[in-house]
Amino acid sequence: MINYSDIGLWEKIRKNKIAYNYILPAAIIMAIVTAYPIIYQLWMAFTNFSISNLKNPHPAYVGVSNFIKIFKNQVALENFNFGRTLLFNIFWTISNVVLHVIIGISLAVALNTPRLALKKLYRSLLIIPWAVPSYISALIWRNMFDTQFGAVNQLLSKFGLPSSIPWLTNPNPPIHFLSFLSYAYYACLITNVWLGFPFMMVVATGGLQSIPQELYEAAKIDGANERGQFFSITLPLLRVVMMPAIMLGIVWTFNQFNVIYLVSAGGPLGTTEILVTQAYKLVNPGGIYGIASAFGLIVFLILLGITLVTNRITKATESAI
Amino acid sequence: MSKKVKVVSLLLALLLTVSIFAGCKTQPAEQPITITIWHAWSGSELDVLNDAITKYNQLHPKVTINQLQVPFDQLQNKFQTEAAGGGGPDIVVGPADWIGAFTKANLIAPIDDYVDSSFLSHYVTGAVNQVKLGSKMMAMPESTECVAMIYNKKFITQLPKDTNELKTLADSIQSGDTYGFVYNSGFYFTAGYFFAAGMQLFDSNNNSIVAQGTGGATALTFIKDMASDKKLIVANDYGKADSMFKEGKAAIIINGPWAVGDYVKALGAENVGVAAMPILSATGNPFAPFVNTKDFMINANSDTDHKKSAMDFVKFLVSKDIEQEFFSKAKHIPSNLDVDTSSDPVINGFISQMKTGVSMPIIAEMGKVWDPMQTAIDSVIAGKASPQNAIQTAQNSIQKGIDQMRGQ
Amino acid sequence: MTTQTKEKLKHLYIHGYIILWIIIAIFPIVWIISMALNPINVLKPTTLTLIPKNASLQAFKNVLIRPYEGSPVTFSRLLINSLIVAGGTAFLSIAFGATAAYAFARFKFPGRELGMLGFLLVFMIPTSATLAPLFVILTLLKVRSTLFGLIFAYTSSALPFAIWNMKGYFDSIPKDLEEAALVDGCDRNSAFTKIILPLSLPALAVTFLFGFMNGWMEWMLAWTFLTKPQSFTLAMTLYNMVGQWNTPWSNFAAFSLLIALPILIIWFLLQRYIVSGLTLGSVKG
Repeated sequence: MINYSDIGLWEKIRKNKIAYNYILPAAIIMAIVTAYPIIYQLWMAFTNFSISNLKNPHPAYVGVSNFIKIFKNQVALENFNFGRTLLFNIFWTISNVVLHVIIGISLAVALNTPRLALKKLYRSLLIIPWAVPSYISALIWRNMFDTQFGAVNQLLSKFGLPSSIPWLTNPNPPIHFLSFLSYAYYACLITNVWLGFPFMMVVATGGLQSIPQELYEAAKIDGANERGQFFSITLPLLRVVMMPAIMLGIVWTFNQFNVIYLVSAGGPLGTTEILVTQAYKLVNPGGIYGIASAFGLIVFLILLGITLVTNRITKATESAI
Repeated sequence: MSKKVKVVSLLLALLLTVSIFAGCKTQPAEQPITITIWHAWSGSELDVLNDAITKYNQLHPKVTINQLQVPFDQLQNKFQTEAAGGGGPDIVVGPADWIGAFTKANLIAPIDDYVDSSFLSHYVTGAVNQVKLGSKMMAMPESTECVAMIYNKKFITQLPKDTNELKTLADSIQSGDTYGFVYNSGFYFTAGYFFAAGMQLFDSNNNSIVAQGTGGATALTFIKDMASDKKLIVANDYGKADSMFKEGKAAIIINGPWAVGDYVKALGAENVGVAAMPILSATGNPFAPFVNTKDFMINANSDTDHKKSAMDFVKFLVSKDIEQEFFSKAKHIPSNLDVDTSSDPVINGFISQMKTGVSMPIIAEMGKVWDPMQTAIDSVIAGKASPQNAIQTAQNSIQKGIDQMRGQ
Repeated sequence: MTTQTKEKLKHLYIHGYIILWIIIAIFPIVWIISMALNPINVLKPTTLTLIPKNASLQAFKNVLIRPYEGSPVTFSRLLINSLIVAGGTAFLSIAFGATAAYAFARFKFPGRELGMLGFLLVFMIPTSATLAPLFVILTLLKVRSTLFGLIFAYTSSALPFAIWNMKGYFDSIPKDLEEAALVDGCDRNSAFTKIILPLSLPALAVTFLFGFMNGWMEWMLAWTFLTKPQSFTLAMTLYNMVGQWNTPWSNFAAFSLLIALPILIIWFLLQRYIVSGLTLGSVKG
């Protein structure tokens, strides 16, 4: 009997050579395309790289002062508030992903009902938010939230609800105990949920296929009703397949540049700013590349931390071995 | 004649003949050369450019000119990335405020060697001065632009003289979803009232002094006053003012010459009018908008031959004939003084506004002004700050940005 | 109530729920169609009328005849380029992603967890930081202004999803199947290609769609790297319409709709594989 832990590291590597071969092509591409930017950014983060260094990359080394400036909110950019941006970013991510997953799974399950008519058509229509370029969709949503003429307010008034809601222009919070969420957050949330649920629906649809029919039949025989079947069979098995998608969804939403930038531009007055839109503003129009790199590095580390924590909780990297 | 004389005269004749032919060869043959120009022009301006290239080719058949149209907000980055790597086009077309950044990064070259004072005397002095950084001329201006009052003649028969009259007039027009005045509170658009109130941007050391004196606070108070009037729309929203005007739902907006083409198409030329914005009642001074130029810049990476050839093409593009085309077909306000603009009342409206305009500073410090001033405007409108505090905060932020840029 | 009626009722509720979401999904798109039909370029219309005054199809014609103003490159050329880039990204992300995912799912080798997390790295870097370094690398490899360079860059951003998604799916396939094959004398590679891959069609299809979307929609990198109009893509050309102040909104809306169509077509076709009704239970041996 071979005790696995007795085998030395080199032995293990040798035994698993085929695994490394399988990973090689992907690893090469990623190494080339991502290693260099990371190293470059690492270096830039400790310098005062700015526009004048573009052609002549020999800026001065400034140690950790870029990082200190960021944490102390001493960066010369409007409404720069690292703490608030980070907090908002986390809340934004959680609220979005939760909604995406719930809506996505519910639609995938609904569309998986045996003998349901028009499934193919429905599925194709529901993917439209994902297919249309998000640039124009985000702009349309921004129009829809216009205070005077937006479709949202007009529809609200048709239903007799309060309809002069200043979605994108009023920096004050509508719900007092959630005082760091302005109206614009809700506008961005609605837009992003609209954009994001098709993806979760598609992944869940693929995942539902991997659940063997017999499990449902066995459960029926045991007397479980629809609800019971869903919670004891569908959900747990779906979880295995969806976990990777959820991890990715977290990373994407955390870095969701388009929606925030195009719908609210991080406003009003920086209340919907997230870390990546802030990073972009540091480069364009800020032009302070050194601080932008330091900022990018911080975002990277935060995201890494979040991923590791989520990974531990969901055990997503474990294999079925 | 003696033999000697015969030989000498033969030699002389030979010499004479040779020198005649030699004279024909003093002009060096033009070498074939390729010039690239990157721009963000579209529609009729692009047509004029293509036309100019064809005309230039007839005069200089050995010069090949390649043009590439790039989306405006990608153009600066694309040029920067390529030029920083040693490449890039020979000519890039952009607004004057790119000059500061490009010069600092050594991406563009001065053109003083290629233009002399007699050439420059044909061009608007303000435009020529705007593109100077230090004592060097860093670009060649093609056109100038500024914002002014664009109004719908169906609603406006008599122009308001000052901002009080503007408010009254706009209030009287407002009904349903039609508004008298849709006021774009973006700093670029409303800057005219800040300067009319007496605010200044920089002191002689290029440090921020927007909070000095009462100018800034007066202008912010004015904007707040306008915003509190429910019969006006005051928003930092270009698309809104633009769309409303096209749909005939806005009587007066603030916008520039680039928008007029679409407005004429939507409302008919007889309904679109351009004039100077009314003077600021609080100080009695006229609206003083930023005046900006669109310029041709030369890549510092190009070798001497390419630079020379490129400048020759640039001079052709700003010559009277081509500038006349840009004016009549694309509604550019020419930088060339020899172009006759009297035929177009719309352009003349902008030109008269320009008379009270302020040349936009192109120093790198200017880039730090936009966001803080916008925050000042936005927070005053939202009631989050008083005009005095808002302008003081803006000055502090701008100065912080300038200091950080200088590496302090 | 008979079971048939019960089922019909249940279906009714389900139809209702789905249709509600379809309305939500489509409503903004109806606006885009309205924008495309409008003869004047209006971004923020003041009324809710969905068919504008003097509606016309001129915008669609404009976009099909002369998509890119700066040069007479044809719509079909741009379409082909986009298909090459998107298809290339899709195929490469499946090819390299599936193999890597298989290794992560089935082998317990040193550096496994690190490797998986490593492949997530790419998302955590903001794009603005990668533009300049990518420019340098692709120029060094002499592929910068080619479509192949773009495919290379896009594949790297599509790989994390490919690997993670397929790993999740492979995990749910019982190991007994390969074990049985290995015992019968198959080697690892055949087990992978002949057993696992066919069973993973749903995941492969989803990954293909995702890789395709990546390559189809991206424009920022494309505008930084490409310089010859003959090699431009549809997405770049769409974005080119956004001017400094003026954007021809009607043309822009029309073009956006045209660009969305191929994605919808591909999803419609891929549905067959994703919902192929493969039941693993039937493969018990």
